[in-house]
Amino acid sequence: MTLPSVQIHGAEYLSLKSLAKVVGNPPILARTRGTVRIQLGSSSLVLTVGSQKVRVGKSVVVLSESPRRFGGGIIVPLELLPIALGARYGENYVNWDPETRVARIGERAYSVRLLRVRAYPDHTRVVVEETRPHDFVLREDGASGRVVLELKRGIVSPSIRSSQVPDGLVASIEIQQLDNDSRITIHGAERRLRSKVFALERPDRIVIDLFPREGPERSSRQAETVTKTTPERADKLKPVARGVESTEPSDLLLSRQFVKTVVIDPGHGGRDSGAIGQSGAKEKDIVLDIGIRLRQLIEENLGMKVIMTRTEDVFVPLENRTMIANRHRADFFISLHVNAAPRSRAVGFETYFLSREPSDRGARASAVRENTALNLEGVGQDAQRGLKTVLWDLAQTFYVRESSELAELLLNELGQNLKVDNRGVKSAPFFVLIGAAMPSVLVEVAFITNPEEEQKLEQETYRQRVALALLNGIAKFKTRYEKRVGSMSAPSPVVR
Amino acid sequence: MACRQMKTAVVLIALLVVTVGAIALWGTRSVTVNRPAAQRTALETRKPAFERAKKSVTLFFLAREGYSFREENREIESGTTTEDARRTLTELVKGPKGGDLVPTVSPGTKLLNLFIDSSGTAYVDFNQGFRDGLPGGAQEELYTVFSIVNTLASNFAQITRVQILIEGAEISTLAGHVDTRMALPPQYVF
Ligand SMILES: [Zn+2]
Repeated sequence: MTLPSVQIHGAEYLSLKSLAKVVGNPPILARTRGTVRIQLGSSSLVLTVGSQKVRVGKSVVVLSESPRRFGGGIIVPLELLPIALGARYGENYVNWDPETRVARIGERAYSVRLLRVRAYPDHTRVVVEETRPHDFVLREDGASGRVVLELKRGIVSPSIRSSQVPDGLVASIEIQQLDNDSRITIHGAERRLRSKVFALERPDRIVIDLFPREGPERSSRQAETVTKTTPERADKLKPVARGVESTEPSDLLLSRQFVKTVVIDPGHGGRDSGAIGQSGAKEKDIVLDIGIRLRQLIEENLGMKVIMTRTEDVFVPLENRTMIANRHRADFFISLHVNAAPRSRAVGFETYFLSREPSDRGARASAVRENTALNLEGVGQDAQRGLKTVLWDLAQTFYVRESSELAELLLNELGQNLKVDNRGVKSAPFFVLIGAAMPSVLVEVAFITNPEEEQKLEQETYRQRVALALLNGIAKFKTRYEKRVGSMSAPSPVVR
Repeated sequence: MACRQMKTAVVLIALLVVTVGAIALWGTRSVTVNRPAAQRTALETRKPAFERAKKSVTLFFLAREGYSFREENREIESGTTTEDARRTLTELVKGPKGGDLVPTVSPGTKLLNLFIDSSGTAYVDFNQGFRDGLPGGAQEELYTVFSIVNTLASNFAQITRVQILIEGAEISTLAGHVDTRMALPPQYVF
């Protein structure tokens, strides 16, 4: 199937019709004008002309360009193609190569797209992340000092490249596609390598630990070691191995900690009660309690500094909340709220990140760069409002991807831990998120107007569960964000 | 993760680039990118006062089930754009007629004034009762604010943004969540 595309101002677009054709479902015009919905298997895609935000299932994806009208129809940015295919056929079944511009959809293809290398005092660990071909073969090539891992039905993503590793033990890692399998070859620096491999779940990954091999005569005699792991065998390995890798205590010690400070903002307070439930529970009290629990959990488990915008029942103006975050140069900001819907029976939780259609897209990006160094401290004084609000907008636009990712991670954890309605990631022009010069989200943990949820919120154990779920989401975000921020600011933290 | 039905065959999707003379086709329209996407139901012009024209407008209410916007059509008497916008918003304040819809503003709400400036911003001035009647949750506030913004922006081509005022004054926020310091463009899904 070949699809035509259109280029407008350097951005490439695809017609909505083509997109619908490849996913096999026609676009349905929603009741709200300019909004289109396409069913994607059990999920769906909702887009609006002129808006960069596209809803895919329960998450919101921010595109670099908005869908627009063109030649009597609607066109969408090309980047939506792999997203839609992934949602329709399952991400593991879709492999999109932006260079050859070919999307392959096949059965049980696993993409190999992320490799993590970390040096420990006595060994080096290579982790093939986000992959699930737990059917692999590991070969230690004694003569050459290489370790070769073949992943059955693994498709190498174009974003992953062979690389040199500035590590005393490993010299380089080579990644190749061999028909339906992918091959990862780890070359030792000087000494020959001894290896240990295991597969883990949640998230799916394959871990290869490499140790220096002592005694050259032993390795030459034992020329080839083959470890074949069938899916059944991998299952047996997992329970033992899971705890070992996922805690990664030495990771924390060895890698530089980039993400150090989080701001927790319990909404409302003082004269502002927020929403009030039928039996009188107040939003301001519930979110303060959850916030204080969350602070303790973060300090104990993640070793991060936690800044609270309030620790007691006091009124804090919205401007001051982001000001506090900016003054402490926090790494991210989480505002806690409880929802209200007195006119419906709504239940569940949702997370929000900031949306505000920027007024000038072209000027936006460059202005952000110009102003990232700008001291956002002290903003919020009414006199300077106009201009500063615009800059606040820009600051948040800069972090929109991180913010939506944080919103998604928190949502997933709440979903796994609370077992109530997951209402999805949403976006809205919330005051408290505007002006935060960092990724920021607003979490609505429940509906206080729903008597059942109100009752739950009044229980200490439930509030602790909410705090724990948020902690897990924060931990995941911290790891991901650190990886990204770390790779930007320090090419490779070598600790050997 | 649920099992998905899958075609066994490998499907190839290749792209053929067709570059269109972008400037000629798009150049003049590229300035309108950020305008609301909704098609205007009525591109209205000033009519003589003696002409008692009727016009159909779309109001944004809330669905009783499921929490989303639901539209309802209403006939209003048509005059100038400002008059029409005022009448339309007054209808929104009255609430829905359909039983499966719920109002987005409280019963004590009064629209005091509405005017449109040359940049396309409509200023809508409500009484204090509008603010006092809000239940306090973020979602309610979102639907209240955007039912007003969407109703105006989707019916009147001249209106691209809406600034909410209370008793003639700008306010930071109605119930502590949505930023109303500046005029808001419409948002149909959150
Ligand atoms: Zn709130």
